[in-house]
Amino acid sequence: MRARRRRKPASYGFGFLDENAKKELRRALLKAVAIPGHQVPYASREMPIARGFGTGGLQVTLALLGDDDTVKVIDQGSDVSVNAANLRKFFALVCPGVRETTRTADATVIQTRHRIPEQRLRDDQILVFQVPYPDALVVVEPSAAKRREMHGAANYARLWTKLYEDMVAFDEITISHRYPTRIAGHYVIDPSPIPRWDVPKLNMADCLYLFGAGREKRIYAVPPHTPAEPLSFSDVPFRVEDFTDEHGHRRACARCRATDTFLDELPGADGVKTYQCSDIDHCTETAKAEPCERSSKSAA
Amino acid sequence: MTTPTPRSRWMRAFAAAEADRVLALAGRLAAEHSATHRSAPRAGLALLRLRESVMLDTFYLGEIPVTTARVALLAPDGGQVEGGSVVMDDDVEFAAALAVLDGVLAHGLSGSAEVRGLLDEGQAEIDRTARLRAAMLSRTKVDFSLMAEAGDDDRA
Amino acid sequence: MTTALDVPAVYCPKHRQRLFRQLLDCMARPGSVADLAAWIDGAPAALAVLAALCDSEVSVADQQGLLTDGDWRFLESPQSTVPAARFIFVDGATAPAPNFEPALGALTTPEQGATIVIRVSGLGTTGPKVRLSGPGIASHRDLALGTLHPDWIERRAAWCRFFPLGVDLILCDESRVAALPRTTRVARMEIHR
Repeated sequence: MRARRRRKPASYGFGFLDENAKKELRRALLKAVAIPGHQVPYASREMPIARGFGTGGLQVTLALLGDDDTVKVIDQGSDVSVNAANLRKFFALVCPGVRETTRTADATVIQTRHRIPEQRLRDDQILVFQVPYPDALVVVEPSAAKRREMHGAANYARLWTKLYEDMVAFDEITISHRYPTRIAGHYVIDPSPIPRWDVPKLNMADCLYLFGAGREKRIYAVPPHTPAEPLSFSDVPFRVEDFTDEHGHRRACARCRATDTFLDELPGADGVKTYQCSDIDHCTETAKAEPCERSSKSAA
Repeated sequence: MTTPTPRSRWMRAFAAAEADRVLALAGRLAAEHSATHRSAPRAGLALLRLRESVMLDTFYLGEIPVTTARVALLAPDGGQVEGGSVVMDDDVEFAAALAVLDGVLAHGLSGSAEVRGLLDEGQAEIDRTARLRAAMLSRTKVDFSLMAEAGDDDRA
Repeated sequence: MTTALDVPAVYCPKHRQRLFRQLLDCMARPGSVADLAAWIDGAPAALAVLAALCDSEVSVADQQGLLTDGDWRFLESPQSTVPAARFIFVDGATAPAPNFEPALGALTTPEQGATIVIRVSGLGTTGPKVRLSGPGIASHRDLALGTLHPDWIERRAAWCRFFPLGVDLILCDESRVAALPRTTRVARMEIHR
């Protein structure tokens, strides 16, 4: 009907998802927090990005955001990669009023792919993980129904066996990321492909961690102040990545000189490897703060 | 006007009328009859189901925005009467406005005459569009008998 | 257009988002009390909780008839019995009936354990104090339960005995809420008058 001169063109509501979809996500999120580590099923919606590109995290973030939020998106620690920049633009488009930031300290909600920021998150911040494979038991049990039973009964014997076999074959646990982590003494979660370096940050945190797996239609959570223990043997403790060089010195970031961060290895054109912080925001902040710190140290 | 527009077609007629005047009138009548929402107005998506014409199977053509509203109006006798609307739109305010007009007209509250006027205008607009389309359609009609006369070998 | 057609605050999408974030925070930090007054325009906090979470997809049980016809119309939830409902709304001043048995979920589907929204008054300020510990709580947190009947805490302990089965409680007074998820351990403290 042309005669009805529209006052405004049809558009998506705040947060892209319709209100019923958001309510369902919110109910799932509350149950996920109430049962730490349990994968709560939900009806994952079609999103304007392909499944596997963070639709799970995206839906969780959209269910959270209000016009008083400040959102940050990182992809492997970077705010500027295509994936992160696209998602941030999408939030700005469908959530009018939400502020974008790259600074960890300024964000109220951070969506992440495969890293936890170096800076300890506060109790007023929420970290949302994009999860490709939500179930830690998938390596030992193909049947989803059986895995759910094993989770419910906290029966992780076969996962322990797998870790033990790793020890026998390779003298160390061969899992580099997605390290199975036990939450509050019951459920074992797949913490998404974060490096081992980030796993200890799940333990007794101040912030709330939410995990969204869009393709697998699961949501789970690690509440603040909740024990999160990476599976390990008493005689083979869990270890984070080792950044010591051949001389036994801890490698420093080439950009900010930090020696307490997770480093990315960058092969140079001349074949010489350099190392740089994976968390770009933290690196930038450290580089800014460093000069005075260094001068005060040399003065001491 | 020959036949009055049945209530089931009111929404379509209101939606075809001038939006600004619909909203202005509804706003005035809502205040006059102390309109309140009976349930939460809702904007969402609905699946549009069609029956295809060969095997008569149903299929989903796609999603359409649908907004519903239900309002209560104060009747002169002190009781409450209801108006409702379901519109193919995402504008909650507009759906609420149509629900008010629906209630006023259906229960003959004061202001019905003006509502009727808007309704007739909308209906006239729909009729005009329909006539235009019918005319366009008739120009595309093909007379198969003429084609046969032109010499179609398959026709024995 | 006109102010006469305002939707009640608790059913506005914007307010619902704020209410949800407060609830999420309460659930993540059991026993912490959030004041919803800014977002509910005088409506009871318990109704705001239901409005933020319920729709036609989830059943609500209201044995005591605490919700009005208007509330039901806006919530759009199907009414249900206590054992079948996903959400249960009760007045906490009276003890739960002996046959009050909410859904606890199953080992494979613990999320189907009910959420019980309990109306009390004086939450966080009056009534018996309990000491809480467990996930979401750094060491311990104390909470005054207002007019909550002590039997609720006993019955809750029984319902939540076999983790991950259990129920999650959301306590509400006029404008404030606090949550007790099934993981929270509750210990009695002294009785206040």
